[in-house]
Amino acid sequence: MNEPLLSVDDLGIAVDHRELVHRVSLHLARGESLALVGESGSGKSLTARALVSLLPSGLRATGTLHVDGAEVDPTARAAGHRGRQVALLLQDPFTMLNPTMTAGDHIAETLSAAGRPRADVPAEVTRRLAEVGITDPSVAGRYPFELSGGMSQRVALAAALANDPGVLVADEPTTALDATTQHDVLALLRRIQADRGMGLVLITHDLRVAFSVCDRVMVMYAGSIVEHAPAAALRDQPLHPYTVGLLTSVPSTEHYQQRLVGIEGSVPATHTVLDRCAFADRCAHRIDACVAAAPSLVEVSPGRFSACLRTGELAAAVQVRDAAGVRAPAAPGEAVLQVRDLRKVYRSGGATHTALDGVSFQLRRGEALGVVGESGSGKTTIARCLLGLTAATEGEIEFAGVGVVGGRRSTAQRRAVARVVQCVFQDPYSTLNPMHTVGATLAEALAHRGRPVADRNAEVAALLQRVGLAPDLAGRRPVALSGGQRQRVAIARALAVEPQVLLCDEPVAALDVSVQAQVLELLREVNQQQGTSLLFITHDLGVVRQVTERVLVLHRGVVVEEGATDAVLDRPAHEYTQRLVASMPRVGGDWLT
Amino acid sequence: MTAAVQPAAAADPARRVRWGWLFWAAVGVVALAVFAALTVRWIAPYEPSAQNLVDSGQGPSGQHWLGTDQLGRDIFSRLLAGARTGLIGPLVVAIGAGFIGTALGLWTGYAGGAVDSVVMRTIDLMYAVPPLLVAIVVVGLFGGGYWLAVGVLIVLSAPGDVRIVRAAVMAQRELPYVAAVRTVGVGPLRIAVRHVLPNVTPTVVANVLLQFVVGLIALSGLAFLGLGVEAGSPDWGLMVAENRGILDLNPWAVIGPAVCISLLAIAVTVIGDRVYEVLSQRTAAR
Repeated sequence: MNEPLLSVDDLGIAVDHRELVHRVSLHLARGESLALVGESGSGKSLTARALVSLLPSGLRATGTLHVDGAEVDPTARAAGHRGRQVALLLQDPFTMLNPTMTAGDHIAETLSAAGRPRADVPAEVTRRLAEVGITDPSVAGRYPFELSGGMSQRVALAAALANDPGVLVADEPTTALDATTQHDVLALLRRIQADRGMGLVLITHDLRVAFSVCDRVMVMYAGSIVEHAPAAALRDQPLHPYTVGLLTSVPSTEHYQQRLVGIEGSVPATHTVLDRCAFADRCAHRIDACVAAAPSLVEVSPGRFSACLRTGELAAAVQVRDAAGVRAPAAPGEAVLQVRDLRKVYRSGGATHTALDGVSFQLRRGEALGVVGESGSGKTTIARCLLGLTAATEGEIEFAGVGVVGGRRSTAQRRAVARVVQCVFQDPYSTLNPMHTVGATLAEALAHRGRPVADRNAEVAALLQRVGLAPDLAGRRPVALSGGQRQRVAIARALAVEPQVLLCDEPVAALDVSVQAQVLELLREVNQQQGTSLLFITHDLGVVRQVTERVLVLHRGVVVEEGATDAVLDRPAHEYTQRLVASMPRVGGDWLT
Repeated sequence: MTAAVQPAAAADPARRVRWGWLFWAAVGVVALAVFAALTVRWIAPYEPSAQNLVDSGQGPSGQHWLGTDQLGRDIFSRLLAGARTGLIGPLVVAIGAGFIGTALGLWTGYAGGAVDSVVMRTIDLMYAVPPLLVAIVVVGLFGGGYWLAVGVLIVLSAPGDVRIVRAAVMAQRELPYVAAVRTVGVGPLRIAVRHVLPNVTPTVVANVLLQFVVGLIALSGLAFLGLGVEAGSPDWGLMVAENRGILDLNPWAVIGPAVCISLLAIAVTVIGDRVYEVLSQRTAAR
């Protein structure tokens, strides 16, 4: 093996006295691709930033970093290797580009800085854009706001590559993109990496993305590397219980799972678990030795490392994929919600934008209906119209027991609708009032249900237990809760009103994979055991497969396909649905081609 | 996915925001002023308005720590007494304007629409008028009076408060937690008062403190011009004006009240800044 291009030894990152990343070592050879996989709080992004000497100020780094044989300082403000040898591609394509510079300027700036003759630059910009799949040369003259997310990410990629770096560090480059766009950008990234023989460090939370793009995968947990293996080996036989849990947590797009298994609890802060196995608290295979000392990363077989004391004995016991489950036959009752020919047109200045163009559907009692679409499909607009947060331009919505209610609602109408439809919103961090305790939030919702409240504290405790939380959380504020806990509180608040329909607008999109499964399981239980209808809005076909029995596919404000979930996902009829299904990340097989 | 964000971060005592020494020094200055205002009757070495023409215009000495003015009144005692008008007037201005500003800001910011337009256009109109000039004209026209000056300043300061609170409320209004409680069926008044108001409290508190400073400077300025406080009463602004003539005999008769005004203004500004930072960090930590 030749001299590694990028070499990190014993990297530690700390703020004050709290360590955030602990003893991370990685080596990348020329032309190799490595994925760093982890959930939020794993330290993967900080590690990536250390590679390009772009750590946020106030953070200290220890350890050594060698780029092409030369040692560099991970905390240096002006790092010579940045851009030339190691380039960085970030997550959000909309904030990564300077809004006052055209797409071409971004690339030209780097080209000129590299000392390319001024006359060559325009032609070179066109060539570079072509490399990232932008063949229309007029794109070079456009500003970031005139570009779509996928287009912006391609321009950012071209700008990052303008200096022909030896290594590209890509930090969640496709997380903010739609599934179909993510598919195209990842395929592009993989092709460019192979064509250029460039090193690639891909940071992602999605193991499926890591498997399909990279040669090797490192799994990080609470600031440390817990497993490191070739992608194929890790996919077929993960060794560390955390990796197994992560793989199991991903809801299958291919078949219905009888039980969604997540990982109980949430990621601890790195500095609290340095003297023990960080995963021990959430691990089903824990023994006393696990909390006695921190296990080190040991080579189990050539090229395979795992930081688990019980690697040898557990290898046979772990099983990732469960078999396809059988759906309980649903017996939906009468309609609780009827939407007829809903249209919503946004006007700003002289321009009009049609968000919904004649959407009709019916939701029956006890039914779980999915609404699938990408950003801009109008799926959230449906939710806002139903909740009365915006008024539809045309069409009507009929609620069971209330009748047709328009967009402009009186407080009395709002209360009547509230007892039919309750909502769980996407962002667990802003869905709860930060100034109110969990108990106050739930008590307020209880006051708005149909039945009188006899014993407030007892009812709040019962609600918390129903969503799988300890009753003593009632006294806490949202700040003290994890994302998953907050989303459970949000579900409890919705259930407190005892609605007939629970409207879920991407309820797990902002949660870590290991926590998603628990929340989805809870929603399934609310639907199946308590007969509350679900209207489930999401972009994730795996989630749709697991939670809903019927699905609407929404594309540019129009329902393009509708039917039983299994039928639509297995045999998509519409061209758009086919494209959507094909671009969904999968664990097995090569979905990137 | 920022790796640095840990759940339950605020529960970690090591990360709890601290007030800092500067804040406590500022609190000390204000506490001293409050103490002087409350106890001047007992702790002042001389009756603040007692004249002693024999000792007029003296520099600092063992008897008179900061000397005397033209009428032989003890400067130090008058400074202690001046804390009263230095605190009460600005406080009433700040609280009065803060109350009007918060109420109107909350209403217009949350309700929007026609109410918002009418109130905001009125405020734009008021912005076009130079406040101190209006105060001088009005107070001069009605023959002075401390409380009239305070009243005029409340009316003239409120528009700024309305704007600031309204902007903060409008930012909160768009957050999902507001949509969530609307969906639960909570009425608009309750949402505005129970949900939005606590979340704009850092802004409101900081703004009231800043308004105190503006009030102090404005009232001192009016007093300097001979408007507002009654002639002869111990007021820092008025003292600067009255003692200009004996600057060569006893400079402390001018420097003393000027320093008092500046120190109190700076201290309250520091407190306001810090309160805003700490409150908003404590509430917004996620």
